[in-house]
Amino acid sequence: MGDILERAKGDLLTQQSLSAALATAALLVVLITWYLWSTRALKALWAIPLRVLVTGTRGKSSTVRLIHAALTAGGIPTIGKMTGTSSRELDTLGNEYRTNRVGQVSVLEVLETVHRNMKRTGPQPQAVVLECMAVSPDLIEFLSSRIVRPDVVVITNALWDHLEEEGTSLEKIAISLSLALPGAKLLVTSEHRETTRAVLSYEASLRDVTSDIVDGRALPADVLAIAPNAHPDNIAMATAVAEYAGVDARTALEGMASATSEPLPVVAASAQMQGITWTYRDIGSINDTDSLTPALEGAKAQMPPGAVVFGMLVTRWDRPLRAMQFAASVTPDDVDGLIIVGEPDVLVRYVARRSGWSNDRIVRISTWGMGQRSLYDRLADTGTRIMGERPKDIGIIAMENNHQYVADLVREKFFGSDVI
Amino acid sequence: MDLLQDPSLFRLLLVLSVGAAFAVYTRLHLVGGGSVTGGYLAILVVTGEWSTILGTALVTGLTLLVMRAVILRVLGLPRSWQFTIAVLVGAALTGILAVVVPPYISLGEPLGIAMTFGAFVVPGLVAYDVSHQGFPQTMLALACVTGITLAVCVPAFLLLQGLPPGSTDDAPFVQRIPPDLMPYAVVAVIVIGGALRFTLGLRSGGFIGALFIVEFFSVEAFLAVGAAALTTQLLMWFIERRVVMTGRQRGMIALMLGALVAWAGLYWAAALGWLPAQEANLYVLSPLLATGLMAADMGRKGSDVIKTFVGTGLAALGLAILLWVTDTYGIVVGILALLIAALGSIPGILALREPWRQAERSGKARLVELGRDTGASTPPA
Repeated sequence: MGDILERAKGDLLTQQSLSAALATAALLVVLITWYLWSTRALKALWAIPLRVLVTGTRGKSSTVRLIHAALTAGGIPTIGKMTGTSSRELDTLGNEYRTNRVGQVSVLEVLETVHRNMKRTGPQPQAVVLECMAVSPDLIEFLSSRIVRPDVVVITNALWDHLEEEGTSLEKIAISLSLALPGAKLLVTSEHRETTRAVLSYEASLRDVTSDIVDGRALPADVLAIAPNAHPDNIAMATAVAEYAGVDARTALEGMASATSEPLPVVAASAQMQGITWTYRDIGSINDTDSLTPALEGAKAQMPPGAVVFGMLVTRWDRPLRAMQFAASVTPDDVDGLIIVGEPDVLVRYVARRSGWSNDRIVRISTWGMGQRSLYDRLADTGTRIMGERPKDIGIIAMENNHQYVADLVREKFFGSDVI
Repeated sequence: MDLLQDPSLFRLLLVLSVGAAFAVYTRLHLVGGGSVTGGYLAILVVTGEWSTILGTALVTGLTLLVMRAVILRVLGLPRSWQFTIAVLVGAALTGILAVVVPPYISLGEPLGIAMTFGAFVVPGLVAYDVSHQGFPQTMLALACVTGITLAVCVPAFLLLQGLPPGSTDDAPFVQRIPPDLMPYAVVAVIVIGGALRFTLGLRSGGFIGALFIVEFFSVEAFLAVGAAALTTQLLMWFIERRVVMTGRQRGMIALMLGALVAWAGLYWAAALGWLPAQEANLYVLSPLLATGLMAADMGRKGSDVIKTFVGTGLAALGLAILLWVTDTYGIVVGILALLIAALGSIPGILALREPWRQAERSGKARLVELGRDTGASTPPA
């Protein structure tokens, strides 16, 4: 034993021991810095009396905006955070800020939002409405139980999306989303399918959470007229949350009338190229095939009569199941031709062909836009083949995802860089 | 000027680089090829291994090309599969480069096994991050992590230069994996690790855990690394109850802590005269990485202590068998044996079919609602 202590004593002021000491110090610095920073943000977050976490498949961002507007109208200073396609923050005065991202989407953004809000002027928040940016079940649970600890959880709906993470049946998807529930007092949902709604209610009851199932279809027309741009289901959910917070429905609705909306292009844009009028419409924020039909029909109605309409599948390699869903769902009955950008394009083409597409109606543009210059030439040629003559109007409807290199270039061509 | 007089300085560099990766991820949400790539590059910089840096960059580019031009286009696989395939492609391409341009990496022991391993897996790690995060973001992350590591390490090394290196033991250096079989060993351990993960849901200590145990080839080494990883995991449980961390942050802290636990454990065990610890201490980075990566695996979702132990043990056993076959019967038989081992992934591949079918069915469900013909090949759900 004496030898060991003697050796240790001899090693005390050596490169070896001081290296180990510095390495230990590095770990402590990293850990303690993070602990202090995160604890400060968490304390500030948990000090807010009403915390609302909004998750689900569709309509999360819009619902956050509506709840924020409803609570603010009711005199409750509220901060809001939307994520996903276009990440934004709302302060207690209703000012909107863009969340600047260098890297990936992370649940840590919630803490950063709270930190940023500490530095902003305006009344102290009495409520916070956060969009759940987590998709995988374990991350949903982590965000809810370790970070937000919500009083109210809004599960907008449970539709066919994020199959990779949340499961390959609607029941599994509902169960995954329910992982946001532990510790909450109220669940608000506008899920329409009876079986999925039953799963959500059951999961809530298991955790002693009260369920409030609402349906926008039940809202009278005069109520919907107050916020005509909002989805009825989202209005119904925002009203339910506001009522939970003690804000009467009328005040909440009046607040919702002034709610801001997503900076997404909701109109079609046109351009003249090669003697053809090109019309572009982006419905890429609809990521589930459940919601595709009304969006696609709406987009088609914005196309000029007689136009050759191409559906542009903006696919992502990390969402292969979504790519397969859309390829199976969009058929020649919907549009005249198909454009595939992104990956896995070979797989998407295979599924599309099983859905009735022939190769001569499919145009593929490679990842980084190689061949992008010829996109419009190729579409014109394909349009000519479909029509039997050179078309005067060609329409492009972008769907499935918003962002991909080529898809972004096409959008910029029509809209400039002001939108997402 | 030789900055690195004592091997422990490499260990310091490793821990600091993971700390830098933690800071960059936490502040910017950026990753640059996993947690240790920045450290790997920093070591190559301070040792002047410029040709290896060039080779790593070249293979990373080729891996990215293969991923983008073929794999991501054709295969609709979950991220975990894409990740393993990227690492495997990078390792295979590095193997080819190592055969064409020997010696691809000239760093011998005591750094050899870890740096060789790094040279093989880093291209895949970086290519994967470029694929899902973007090229400029990944390069920025790599530059930040490597830059911070060097900015802290170089002054620290200069300050420590005047001090004596520290006590050493007279244990013989053992190297059981022949250097010419190291490329094969790295590819094999990735294949086995992938098969274990996708078929049985087992983690194997970030691949290198099994490699180190085979290199050391003793039950004692396995138990020692396992005990250090378990100690780390116990400490992590304590920390996690107090500090909120995402999975990635947790993995990095586990890696740093595991490295420190292994470092301290090896020192004291060696001082007590335990020969395996004295031998393991000669491997500068491998035992630290093996411990840290095992601890990180223990805390992952869907994994635990037992699964990590079993996974690492099975991976080590499988690798030992493959190496024995290759050493005994030659590389052709070894490659055949490796292909047979790869068949272990088949149940995992078959399990992928159901989500594919379900995705197609759910897409067709819309057509059913619209009353359209959905085709006979994929009946709607």
